[in-house]
Amino acid sequence: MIEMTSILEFFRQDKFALVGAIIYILFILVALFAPAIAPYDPQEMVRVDGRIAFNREPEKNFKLGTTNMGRDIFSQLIYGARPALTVGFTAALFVMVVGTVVGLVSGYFGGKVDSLLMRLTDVAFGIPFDPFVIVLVSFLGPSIWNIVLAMALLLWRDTARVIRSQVLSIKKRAFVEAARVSGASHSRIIFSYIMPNILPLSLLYGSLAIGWAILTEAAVSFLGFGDPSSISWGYMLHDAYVSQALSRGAFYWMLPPGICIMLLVMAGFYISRGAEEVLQPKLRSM
Amino acid sequence: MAASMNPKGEDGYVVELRKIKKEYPVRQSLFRKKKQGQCLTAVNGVDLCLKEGDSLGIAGESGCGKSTMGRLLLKLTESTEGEYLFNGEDVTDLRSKEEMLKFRRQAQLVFQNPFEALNPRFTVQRSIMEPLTIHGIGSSTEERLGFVKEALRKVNLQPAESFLEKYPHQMSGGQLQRVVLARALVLKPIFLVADEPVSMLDVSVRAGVLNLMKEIAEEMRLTTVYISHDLSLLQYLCDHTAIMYLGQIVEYGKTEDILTKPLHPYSKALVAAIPTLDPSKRPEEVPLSNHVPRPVDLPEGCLLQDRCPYVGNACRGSEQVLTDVGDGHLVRCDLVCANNGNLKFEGGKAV
Amino acid sequence: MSLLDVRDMRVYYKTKKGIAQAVDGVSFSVEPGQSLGLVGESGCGKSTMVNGIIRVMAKNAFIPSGEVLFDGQDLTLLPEKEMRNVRWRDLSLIPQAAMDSLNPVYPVEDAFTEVLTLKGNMTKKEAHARTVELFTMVGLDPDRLGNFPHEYSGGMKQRAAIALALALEPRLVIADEPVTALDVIVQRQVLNELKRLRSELNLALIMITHDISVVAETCDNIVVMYAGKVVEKGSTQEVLENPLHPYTMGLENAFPDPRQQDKELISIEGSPPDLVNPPSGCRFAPRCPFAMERCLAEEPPYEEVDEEHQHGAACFRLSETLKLQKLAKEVETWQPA
Repeated sequence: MIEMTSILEFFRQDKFALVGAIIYILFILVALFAPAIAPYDPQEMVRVDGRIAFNREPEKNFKLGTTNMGRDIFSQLIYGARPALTVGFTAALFVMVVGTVVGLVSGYFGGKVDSLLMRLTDVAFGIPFDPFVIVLVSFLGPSIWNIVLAMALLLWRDTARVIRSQVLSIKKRAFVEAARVSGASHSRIIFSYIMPNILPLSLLYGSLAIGWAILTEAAVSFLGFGDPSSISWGYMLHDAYVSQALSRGAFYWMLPPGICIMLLVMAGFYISRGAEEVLQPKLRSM
Repeated sequence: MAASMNPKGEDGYVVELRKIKKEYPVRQSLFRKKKQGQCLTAVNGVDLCLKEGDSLGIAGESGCGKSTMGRLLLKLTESTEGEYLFNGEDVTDLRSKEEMLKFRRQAQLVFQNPFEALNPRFTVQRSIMEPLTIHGIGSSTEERLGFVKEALRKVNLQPAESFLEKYPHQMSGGQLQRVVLARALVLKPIFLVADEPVSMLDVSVRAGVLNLMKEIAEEMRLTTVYISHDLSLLQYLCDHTAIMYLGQIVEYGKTEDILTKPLHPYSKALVAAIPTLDPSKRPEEVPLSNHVPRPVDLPEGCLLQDRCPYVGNACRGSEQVLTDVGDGHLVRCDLVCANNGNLKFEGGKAV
Repeated sequence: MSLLDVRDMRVYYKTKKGIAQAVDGVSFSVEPGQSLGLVGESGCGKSTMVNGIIRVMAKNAFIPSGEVLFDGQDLTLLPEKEMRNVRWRDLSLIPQAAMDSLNPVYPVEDAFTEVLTLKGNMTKKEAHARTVELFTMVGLDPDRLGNFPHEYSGGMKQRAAIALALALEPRLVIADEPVTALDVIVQRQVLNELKRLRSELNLALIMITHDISVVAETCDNIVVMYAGKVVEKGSTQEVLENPLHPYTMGLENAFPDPRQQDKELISIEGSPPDLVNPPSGCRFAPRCPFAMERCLAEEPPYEEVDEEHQHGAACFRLSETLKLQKLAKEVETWQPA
């Protein structure tokens, strides 16, 4: 298992990963304490002097102005961290778990099980991702959980392939054979010998999936298939787009959610990139 | 005779192989149909009997089937033909989990590459304790820990306590191989297979591991099989040695006899080729040609016929049989046997 | 003048833990047509040193000091461009994994054509003729030129690697563990081939190996390295029959010999030192059964004791050699106190 000290050591040595981690922590804190940070309810049509404040430009009370419905953009931005992270983490968890299990079973047992699972993976690879999500969400109803489901149904494919090939190579290593000579059962070999050695890799693919999930949620929401009850960054972009904010020069509405998406996804990739280097034993020993 | 090739139902053997054969189906190219009977013969009808305390070396070049032999002996791979009796019981087909566990507990392996043979994420303690946990030996963790320490002491890793918490990457090759040996011994097996146990170690520490294995095998009355391409190592470990060529044992006898007076032309070539510190003492080389037949397409008759400088017509037609030429020295070569083992080769001609 | 004269050569590695002194003040020379065996265990610096000589080094390696005089010219001072010319034409390397050094997607001949046309300025036709000649020379069938590397056996690939190293008639060939991965019979054939080629072409050879018996059979001289230092050197026969340094004695003890049935195998306890923080005195002292206090404090200088065989060692107890040789044959001597 990766110990705490080695994690600290890793962040100390990889500055990009450190930056990524700091960005992540900031966003998580923002999401957790959103009610305390945001000045208004993101859905509230804010009234100033009894009248709804439509289309305000940034000012003291509205740091990023208001929408055409009179909602505070800054508050929306703060609350937008919640669906982004929820979708990101849950989708990543599903992707990781499903991908790892499929890869492990397929690689370890081989034969017919392997053929069956890998053909299934081929099918998953054949389905275009974004259209699939949109069709599924419009079929099952717009909710972030359906977006998560759609991703869980498809995105495991990459993880499964990579984990399978890793399992195939670990399976051949002498210490797995040694476990067999000791009389270890299949489940013991899988969980004590193979799993710990592929876990870093599945974590890496999980962290990559976070970025994909956030981007997908943003794209789907931007296209108007998002969950209208929760304000996400993609939804904000969609809102701004359909209300023709750009033609009014309201960059303060479009840019911040875009930057947030970019920052969060980028941070995820920085961490994974660093983790990838740690996973390459050759680079590590240098 | 410590071991013989054809015992006719004698009892008291720890390991008894009867006409054991291992064939691998050959995968044809994608669009061609699999030809009937096309297969690669890795082990070709080997008989082997080992009593308690016997030590046998199996030597030969890569591809001769010696590693497959090791895997067959430990049931890491299943034979395609023949019978395997272990401690008097037929273990050719072990169907139930219990029977397999019982076999695993008694037959252990020392690996070639100690840097690979231990789970990199396990401490030494966990690696050695693992077999105990699997077989449910010892009633408590403390009791198991006691066994682990005992095993570490046995392989001279002392003080045992200082090694318990180490990870494989913190240890040297010699130490790792001792841990591998400790893991094999902690189950108190009766049969041990060592596949090239020191080939990955530095020369200066090899002797330590070899001597240790020999001492332990004698002390525990273990039946041992050492597999090595290096004949000069086997003389330190084994009473008897079998030379394998293309899945068959071509010569078997006391290790000393095989090293000093090999009879089979292939053994002769093998022994003559071993580099030595004093080249003036090297015996005359046997010029084998390089026409090694493909294991999927073996010739009829003697398998060495296309390489042997002494080949005659008799070698090509009939299959050669492993024959005793006296003193338990067996040779699979009709030319040698016809002359009671006195056949000498000089300058590429049989005298 | 020696063909190759390595003087006080150092190759260090920058590592996370500090600077590893992988090769630390090594000197030796090779005369034209002579063969030299460079012997030592893994991590003793033998490969690092030859990579330093031909200047194909790892990124974190550097040469802080030392001279590599090839034909009187210091290779450490040559600009990379000129070094590239020296590399195939004057000295060439048979790399450690020579069997895998051929590109699997091209026929074997392509590797030869490339070297001969680019480095040897030959036309394609000349290159082909030369390749056929080289193949015949190392005992390969020229009909196999068009084959891919995977169609060759291990021994054939090794022969091809040797042929490739000889392509431009270098005067010195460095072979890094040329026969380690081969089976004994093939190993014997390749060694014989190297021997024959050496005498036919008057080729100088440096052979790096951990196997002293291979050196015993093929090399005129031997250099024994331990932890980045030369501990002993001299003519092979002299060094093996009359070892001066305790490490050499220990190495011989540890070596199984099929012609000496009664020989007892003795190992050297302990492991080589950390090269980032090497011991202040003799680097072998912590494992040496004959170490005195002085050995732990001071570094023994290299001393030549036999001029005829250029035989010498770096040890403070050279005057007691006979006594040490006798003691070294006893098992008890090497047991840890």
